[in-house]
Amino acid sequence: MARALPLILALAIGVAIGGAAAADGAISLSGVTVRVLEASGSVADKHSVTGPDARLRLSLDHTRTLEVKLTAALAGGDADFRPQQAFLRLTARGSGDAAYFAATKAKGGGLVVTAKHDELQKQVGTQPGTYDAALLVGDTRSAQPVEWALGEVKVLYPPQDDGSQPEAKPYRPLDATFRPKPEIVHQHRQPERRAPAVVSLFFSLVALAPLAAYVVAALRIGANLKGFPTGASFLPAAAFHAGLAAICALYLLFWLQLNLMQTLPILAILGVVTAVFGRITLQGAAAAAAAKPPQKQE
Amino acid sequence: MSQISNLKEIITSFESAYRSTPTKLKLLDAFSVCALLTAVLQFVYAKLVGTFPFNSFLAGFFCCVGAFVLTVSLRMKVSEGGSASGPREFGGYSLAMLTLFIAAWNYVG
Repeated sequence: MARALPLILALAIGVAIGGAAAADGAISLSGVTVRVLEASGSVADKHSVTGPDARLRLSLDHTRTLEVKLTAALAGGDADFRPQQAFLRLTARGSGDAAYFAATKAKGGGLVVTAKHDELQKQVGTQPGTYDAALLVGDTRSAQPVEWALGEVKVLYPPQDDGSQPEAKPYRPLDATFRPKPEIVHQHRQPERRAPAVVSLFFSLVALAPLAAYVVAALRIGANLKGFPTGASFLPAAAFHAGLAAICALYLLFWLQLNLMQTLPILAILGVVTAVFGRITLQGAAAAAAAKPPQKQE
Repeated sequence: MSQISNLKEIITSFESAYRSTPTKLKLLDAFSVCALLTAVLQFVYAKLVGTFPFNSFLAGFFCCVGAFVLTVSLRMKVSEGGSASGPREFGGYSLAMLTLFIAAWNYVG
C-alpha cells in the first residue's frame, strides 16, 4: 500500500489544484475491455467490465500480454476528454509491491493500457503469484479520482526444470538507486612490523660499544680523576655526580616504563638536589682555582 | 706504489704529530669519535632493521651528531685558546649539551 501512496498523493494534489481552478465534474468510465493476448496477437481471454468491482480471474504468463481498453468521460467537460492520469495497477498480494502501467491513446479513440510480462518483472522483480489489478483514472478537472478493481491476475513465470515456479525475488527500482553503503568497520592502527627482541638488544650493545671503547681509550691516553676534589669538598662533588647519574638512570626508566606524570616529580626532586650540590661543588672549584690560578680544573 | 708510500708517510707523520697533542684534546677527540661512531651504528640499525620507534631513533641519532659537533667546537676553541682557555669554554659546552639533551629528551618518549 505504501507504494500506492505517491500516486494517491499526486491525485490528491491534482484534485486540490483542479478543484480550485476548474469546474467540478465526475469521471465516468465506459467500454472497459480486458483482454489477454498471446504472443502471436490472438486473443486468449476477453472480458467486459461494467462496474468498479469486477471479479475477473485472469492468467498472465511470460508469453502473454494484458491489455485494458477504456473510454473516459467527464461530466460537463469536452466530448474529447483525455484524463491526465490513467493507470493500470498490479499489486502483488504477498509483498504489496505494485507495478504501474500508463495508458496511451488508442487508435480507434479512447485509451489503452498494455501490461507486458517483462515490464511487470522490471518493476517488481520476480514475484510469481496472484496480483490485484485496478484501474486508476484521475484529472485536475475532477474532484474525485476513479478506482476500479478489475479482479485478480495470476502471474506465471517460465517454469523451472521440475515444473515449479521460480522463487520470489522482489525488486524495486528504488533499491537499485539507493543501495546501502558498505559498512564502515573501525580499524585500529596496525602495529608496526618489529624486529625480534634479540636483534634489537644486540644492536643496543653494539651502540653502547663505542662508549666502552671510549673509556678504554681514555684510560690508555692517560685520563685520570686527580682533579676530583678531595677532603671536605669530596662529598658535595660526589653527590653532584651521583645526582647526574641518577637523572640519566631516570631518563632510562622513563623511556622503558614510566610515564611523564610519574617522571616529572622525581626529576624535580633529583634536579633540585643535584643543583644544590652542583653549586656547592662549583663554588669550591672556583675558590680552589682562585687560590691556585695556573692550575686548571678538568 | 709511490702513492701508497706517500699515504703511509702522511699517516706516520700525522701519528707522530698527533702524539704531541695534549691529553685533554686527545680525550675530546676520542669522545667525538665515540659519539660519531654511535650515530653511525644507530643509522646502520635503522637501515638494516627498521626505524620502528622513529622518534627514539631521531633522538638518539641527533643527540649523537649534536654531541659530536659540540665536542668538535669545544676542541677547536680549546686548541686555539692555548693556556687561557678552560673552565669558561667547558661551561659553555655543558650548557649547550644540556640544551641538546633537553631537546632530545622530548623525542625519546
